[in-house]
Amino acid sequence: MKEIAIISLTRFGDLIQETPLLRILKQTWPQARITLVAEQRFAGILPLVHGYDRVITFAKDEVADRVVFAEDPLVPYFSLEAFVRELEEIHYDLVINLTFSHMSAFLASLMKADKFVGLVAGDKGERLISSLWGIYLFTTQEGNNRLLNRINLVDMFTRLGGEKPDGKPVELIGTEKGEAFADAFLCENGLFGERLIGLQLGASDTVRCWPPESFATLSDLLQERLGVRTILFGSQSEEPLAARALSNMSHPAISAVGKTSLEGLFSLLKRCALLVTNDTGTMHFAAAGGVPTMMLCTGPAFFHGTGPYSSGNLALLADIPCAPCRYNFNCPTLVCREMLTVDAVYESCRAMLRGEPHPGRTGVKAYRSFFDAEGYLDWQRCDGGDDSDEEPARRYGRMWKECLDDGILPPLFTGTAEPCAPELVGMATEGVQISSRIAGAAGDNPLPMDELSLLGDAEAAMAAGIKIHSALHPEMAPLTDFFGLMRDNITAEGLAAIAEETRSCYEWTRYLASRL
Amino acid sequence: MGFFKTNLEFLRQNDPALAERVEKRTERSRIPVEIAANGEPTLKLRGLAIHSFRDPAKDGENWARRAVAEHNLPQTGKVTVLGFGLGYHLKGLANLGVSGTVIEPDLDLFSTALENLDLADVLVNFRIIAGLTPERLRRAHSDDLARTILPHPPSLRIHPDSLGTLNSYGDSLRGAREGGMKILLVNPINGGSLPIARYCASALRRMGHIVTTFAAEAFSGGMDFAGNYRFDRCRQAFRNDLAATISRGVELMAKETRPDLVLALAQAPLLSETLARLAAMDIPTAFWFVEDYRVLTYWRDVAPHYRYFFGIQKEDFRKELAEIGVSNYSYLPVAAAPEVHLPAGLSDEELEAYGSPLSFVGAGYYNRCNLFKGLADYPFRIWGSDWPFSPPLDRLIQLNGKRIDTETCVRIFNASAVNLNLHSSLIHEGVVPDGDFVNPRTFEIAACGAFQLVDRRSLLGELFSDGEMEQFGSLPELREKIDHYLDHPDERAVFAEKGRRRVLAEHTYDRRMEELLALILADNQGLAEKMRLRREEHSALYEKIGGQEGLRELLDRLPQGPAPTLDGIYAALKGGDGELSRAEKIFLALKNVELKLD
Repeated sequence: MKEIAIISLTRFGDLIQETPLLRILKQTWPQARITLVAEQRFAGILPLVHGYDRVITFAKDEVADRVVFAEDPLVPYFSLEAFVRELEEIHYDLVINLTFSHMSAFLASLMKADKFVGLVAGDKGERLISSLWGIYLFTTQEGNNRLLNRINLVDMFTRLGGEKPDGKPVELIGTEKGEAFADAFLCENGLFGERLIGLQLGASDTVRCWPPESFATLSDLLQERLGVRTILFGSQSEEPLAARALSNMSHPAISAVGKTSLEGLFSLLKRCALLVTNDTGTMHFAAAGGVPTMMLCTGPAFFHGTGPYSSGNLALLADIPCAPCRYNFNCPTLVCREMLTVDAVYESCRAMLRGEPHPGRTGVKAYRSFFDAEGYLDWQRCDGGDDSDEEPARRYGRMWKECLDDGILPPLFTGTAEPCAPELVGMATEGVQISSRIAGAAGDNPLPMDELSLLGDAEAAMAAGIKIHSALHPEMAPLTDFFGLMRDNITAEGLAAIAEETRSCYEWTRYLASRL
Repeated sequence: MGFFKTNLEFLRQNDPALAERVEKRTERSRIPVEIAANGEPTLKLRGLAIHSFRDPAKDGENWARRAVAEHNLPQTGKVTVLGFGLGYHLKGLANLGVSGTVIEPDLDLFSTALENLDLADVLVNFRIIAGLTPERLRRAHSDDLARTILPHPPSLRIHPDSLGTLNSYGDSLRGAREGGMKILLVNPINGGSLPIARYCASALRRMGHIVTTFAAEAFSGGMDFAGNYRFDRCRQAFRNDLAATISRGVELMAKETRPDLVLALAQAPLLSETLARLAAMDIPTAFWFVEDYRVLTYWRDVAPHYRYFFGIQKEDFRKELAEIGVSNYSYLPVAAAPEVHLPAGLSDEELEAYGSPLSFVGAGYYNRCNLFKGLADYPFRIWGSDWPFSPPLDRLIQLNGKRIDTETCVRIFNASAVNLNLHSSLIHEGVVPDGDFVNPRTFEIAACGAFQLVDRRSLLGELFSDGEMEQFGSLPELREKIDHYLDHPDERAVFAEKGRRRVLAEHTYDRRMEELLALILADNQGLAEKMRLRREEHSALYEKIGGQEGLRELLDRLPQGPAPTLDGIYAALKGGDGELSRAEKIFLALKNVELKLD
């Protein structure tokens, strides 16, 4: 392996979340040159990211601007084409697309490579997801499947890149510029020698934001009772939030909101003993800086998929059945934010800072992160509450890791004696039989058209039946959606080959359902 | 000297009508010439020399040589020369093989030239348009104005208001015809101007402009909903709020599409706040008020907020607008849409259903009800809404007074021997005595190749020539003409054919939109320059497409037109079976780029 490209065009947090993949790829292929394809507007983080050799930046906003406003359609065309030419310069051994957008799929398809993983557009523009882990990643984005997902996005990225997690956190390396900023900031604000707690007020969405008034009260409590100093973090657009919080504080926190570059943010965060945060990019910075982090999960924010990727972090979640809620749900009550009381968050902070067990609070569930024996990040409920409701997700987590790790279907697999999903196993078995018969008939000369037509109808009915099964049994949706995506990704040509691939989809479904 | 008769004979061969007009001028109306140093006749008007006073022929030859070199003539085609003078410069052009059209506003000057110079070569090579107003020229000779224009500078100095404006108009007309302008067209919520808005959109698209329609008619049900309120104040409040929302919707669409021009048709729901914000966004706005300004007076509120204002009436309206500070007004009559209003071969059943010796399509305004009572003894069918179901008209009203859609209108026009066209009035008893504007029906019936009798309008004469449109001024005259034409189908056919030809040549929405855009571009040099730069950029970009795999093939698949759009290209991308080219993949990536408004 000499040339590897990683396409990462989603968020700047993703550039942090793929650092384990970069690290492991570099260890596995020390001679390979790794090219990072990143968005221009996130380039500020690149000095902190290590493990890549070359970067191609994409000015997506400029192209988008031209799509909207250019008078001639060739203006955006040539604007994007210039970037495409950079992508085409090198023939890659491997292209890993970590961006799950159609745009990135077409960009990937324009690159020259021996192997693509992740999303890529086919020659006819069809969506292709290569690798089982890629299909699993897409599965987690469907419906409410993420609630049954126990695998962190970082681990999925690593697996997508063909590597295994190594139980180490995300990592960034501070720069001199960032350190100098942090020193100057601490000096200017008289914070040297103080125990610092960072508070990140904003988030991408209002429902993911713990109220700034609550942050204000928390800040006062922390400063009054624990003798720490608090620093507010956030971008320039979050200044109104910071102003709201500051106006409600008896002991004003120091505000770094809108004052930090990404390098400065990282170095300043590293000086903190704890970060209390909504679900944000700042949270990933803290994890990469080894700073213990408390993630406040409100609205759809959920720690299992995208929580801070290091051990010893805490995630707090309202103890109500609807938490976390689904994406884009316009909740009229936002009760989950109210249930995360200031007292509960304060008590959790105190315990974290003192290294004590979580005190447990009614109405709030607390989870602590750790690396499991295989090197994957996981979370364990730590407030003393009952966690039996998480058993289905745990079973799924184990199943995916065990079954997809090698990406190879065990030969002659016939299922377990008492499967957890007997109906699905039964349907998948029937699907194997139907597709085997199609594969067999496809070899006959002349083709038995009537028989093939009947078998084709039967297979389509079976596929539809599996889809319907998840409507009746929502807990089966990750498996049925996985099956659907596999089936959508059949690339074979010719009836016999298509039938073989279809059979493989059913075999995998039977295998996975049997191991659940 | 004394070339008049010979020249006139040459002129008569090409343009007998003009020869006749010139012949009617008296000798006294000719302008006295002077003698140049070389003995040739020359001319000074209002203290300005039209030709050289040393050697006018040589001066004309030099001018012609420069023009030929500058415009690569005659290879690049025919030209239009602005200004005849005594014709020296035209002789120069003719000698170099250049031909085309000459526009001269002063018929006396043209007559003087015919008297003083041997212009046989000029009259063979050039068609002369003399004594017409710029407005008439714009409408009747747009193709001449869209050619390469050679302004004769002394003539322009003498006629800055006519030849001067035509010179810049010609450039703008070419720009308007080249397409590529992004236009946000705001439809009215309902009413008679809605079909006109749609015809305008089609015309602009045919011209190669990129039209986004704000289909305000989608809110028509909302406006109707106001009827559910019991109190008028509530109804009005609801309508006002809805109008504000719709107006804001136009602004948002302008923000998304960044048009070069917002064009609104009468009754379009654009409030002054929105127009002010569009102006702040540096987007020119134009309004075509296709209504009678004396009847509908809301123009007073909106006209000052538009940069360009167009209407179907002339001087009186212009004066009233000037009184409220609106100076950028242009007269733009309505027209027909030949793709819709066309001769139709009708089946026997259709002739039975829609045909009659005498018919009228339209709403039952007061003057129509009154006048048509005097026609109740004819085999007369009246189509349309708002007619009183009382004798003697009740038995003539068709389809229980239902509104008639455009398709049915066209069938009725085609099926009727005599189509009546009486402009509406709420106060007059019959024909409006001082009626000026011409209604759409006039053009639409003519475009159908149907015969009509239309009430006299002061502006009709400059839109149609003699023999193209038969008119009436009173009930007795109308009855007399109905009787005559019902008995003379051959005469009806001649009128109909001539009327149709005139409409197709001059009175289509394509022509109107061309004129509207050309007038705007002539006034707005910034916009004209922007369009020019865009065309240049477009050409430069197209020079680069050769090296792009699959790009030319993709562009070749687009429908013909000068202005491809991203949406047009997306629509042309292969779907399903074909293997995508590099260019197609790039466009598909573009199609999926996440867009942000700000």
